[in-house]
Amino acid sequence: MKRKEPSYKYENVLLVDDSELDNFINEKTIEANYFARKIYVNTSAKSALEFLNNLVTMGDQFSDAHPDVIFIDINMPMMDGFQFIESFKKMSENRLRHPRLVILTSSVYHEDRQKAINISSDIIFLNKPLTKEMLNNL
Amino acid sequence: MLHLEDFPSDAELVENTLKKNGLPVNIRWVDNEADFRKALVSFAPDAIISDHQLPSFTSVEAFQIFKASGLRIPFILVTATISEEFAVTMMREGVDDYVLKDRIQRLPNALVNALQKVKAERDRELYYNKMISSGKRFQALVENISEAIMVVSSRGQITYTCPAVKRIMGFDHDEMHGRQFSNFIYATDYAGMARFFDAPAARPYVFHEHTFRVICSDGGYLWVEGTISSFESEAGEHSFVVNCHDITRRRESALQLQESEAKLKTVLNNTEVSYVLTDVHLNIISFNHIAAKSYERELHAVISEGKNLTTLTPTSMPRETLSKFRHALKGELVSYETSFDNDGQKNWYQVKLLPVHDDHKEVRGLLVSSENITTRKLHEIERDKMTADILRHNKNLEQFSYIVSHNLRAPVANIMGLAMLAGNSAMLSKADFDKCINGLQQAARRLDEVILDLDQILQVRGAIKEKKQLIHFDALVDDIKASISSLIEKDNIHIDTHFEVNELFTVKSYLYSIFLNLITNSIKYRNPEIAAIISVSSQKHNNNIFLSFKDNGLGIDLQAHGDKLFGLYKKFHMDKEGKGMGLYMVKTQVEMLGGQISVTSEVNKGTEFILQFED
Repeated sequence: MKRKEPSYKYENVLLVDDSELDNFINEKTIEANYFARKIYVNTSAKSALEFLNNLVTMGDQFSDAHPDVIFIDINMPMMDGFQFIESFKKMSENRLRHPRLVILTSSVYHEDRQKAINISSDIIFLNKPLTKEMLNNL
Repeated sequence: MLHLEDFPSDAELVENTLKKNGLPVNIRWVDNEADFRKALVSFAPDAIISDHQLPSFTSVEAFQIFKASGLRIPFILVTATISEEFAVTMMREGVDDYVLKDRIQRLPNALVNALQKVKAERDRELYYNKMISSGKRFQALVENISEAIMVVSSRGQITYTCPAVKRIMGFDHDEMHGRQFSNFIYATDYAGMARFFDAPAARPYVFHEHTFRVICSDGGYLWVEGTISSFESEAGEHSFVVNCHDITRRRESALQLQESEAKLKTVLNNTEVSYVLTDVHLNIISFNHIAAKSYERELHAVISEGKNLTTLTPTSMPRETLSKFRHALKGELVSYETSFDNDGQKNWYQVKLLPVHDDHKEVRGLLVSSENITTRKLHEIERDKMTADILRHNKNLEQFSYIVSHNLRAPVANIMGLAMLAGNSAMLSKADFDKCINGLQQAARRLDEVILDLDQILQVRGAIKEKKQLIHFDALVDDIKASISSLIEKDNIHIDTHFEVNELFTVKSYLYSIFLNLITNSIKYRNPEIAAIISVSSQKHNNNIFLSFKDNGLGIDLQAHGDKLFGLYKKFHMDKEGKGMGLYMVKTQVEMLGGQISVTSEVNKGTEFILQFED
């Protein structure tokens, strides 16, 4: 009996988080809710930037692989979520399909939310853990 | 000579007789009343010779006319016959002499005698007039003078009072005469004067000035300034003239002035503010008690009039203070705060330099006021300290809330997420389910760790309970070397020490923790390709002790991470174990000890941490 191919909301998502545990939770939650067909995971902002840069340099024939949504943690060593967003914005200028940027953090610190809004109004700010409701709203 | 005669022969006889006796006479002869009256005025005779019997009027009438004229010249009657009785009557009326015509040769003598007699009378009269007028003047002077003049006998009795005495003291002449002078003088004041009355002979004619009170008729008294002089009366008796001048009003205003001056002085001397008045060269003109006291206490200087403010102390006035005085001397109001440290007691002063101007708006001097504001200042310092404390507490609270919202929240979010996944286990493979359970355990452990860290941070951030003690750096480093000796030996770490200052009065456990953290940090981030050298040293600059921890390790890119280096749970070397607590704790502890920490570093060269503490 052939299983019916489920319908996914998005093609590709990118998870950027230094915590293995968080990545596991987010991945499983996304899978369980058929949120995206493909999930890329990066455990540091730097490697995520490299990955995205590679996608850009590979050219248009790989545009199907471009992430539709990027989930970014804030508190990461070496380069935090805010620094990542800044670098990403500089790098991507019209060369990437415009992904939705989602800050996904365990922080409930009010200043972090304010800081995210200040960087760009189209950034979505979510508190961990990622839930079905959150994914439905994206 | 005026001659009244009706017979020309008789007139000739008189003329001849006078001429014969060598009397140089110019005779005007008249024979009637009208001519006689005219001649009295126009001729101005030296004497009058009158016949008794004339056809128009008699010698009696002529004499009346002469008397009425007021002339004071001899009037001699020359007549043929008169009765003895008439002659006596006329003489009594004032005729100077009479001469019978048949004995005319007596006339010259009679005339000369009469002239002499009249002259003598006139002189005496003139003298009397003089006497009378000067006496009157003197009396008028005495009676109209505003000074009270009394004459006191040697027995102390009043023998004369001038009218001013009544005006001033209110007593009548009769109420004072014969009574003792001392009865009219305020008892305590008389004591000082009595000496003079007791021995007048010893110093006759001496003026004795005295200020005393006289009793008045209304029972009150008046202040007078008196001059007492003694004199000897014609009878050879000593008397005194007491001459008093009412000075009550003057004295009252003088007393008022004294009183207001005294009040001002009292105010100036009882104020908390010190005042020094100087001229334009800063020479002291005057000062109050407080000024003397505070200059003594703070500058060990004895302040006195005439001294110069700038040279009160052996050390000259500081340049910036001098410049303030210069500004004030240009007319500016200068105000500044200053403090003095004496025997461990620090006093603060608010100093004001007020230029003193004359009528032409020119600066004539300075009023230097200094107010001791130590109490206020101590309150200010206390308040600043409290504000700093509150700010620190507030910062701690913020830090706490940051830790809770970030580091405590993270494992909680993990637990929630994992629980959610595990609750929907139909979607999970066996391996993923096991991972969930494993993750739950991990998150719970992490939660516990953060709570323990929080407790440690709060302990350090809370009030320091441990007493401060003198800590020797070399001994401290030796202790640390001993406690991590296995680490040092294993990695062949070389720890150099060079302490120019070897001690600090501080909290031992904090300083130990700081040293341990910085040294182990250097070991952890050493460059594995070269021999690790850690040098710990100390120096002293301007009451500050600087401690340096320098290594030749991996270093860190401060440009990229400088602001986060001391942050909680910040890690910069992912390959090294650790949770990012060390430097956070070091900074917290340094600050709790009132110090500061800074860092310089270069990648692959090394790192130096510098700590600064007040000695």
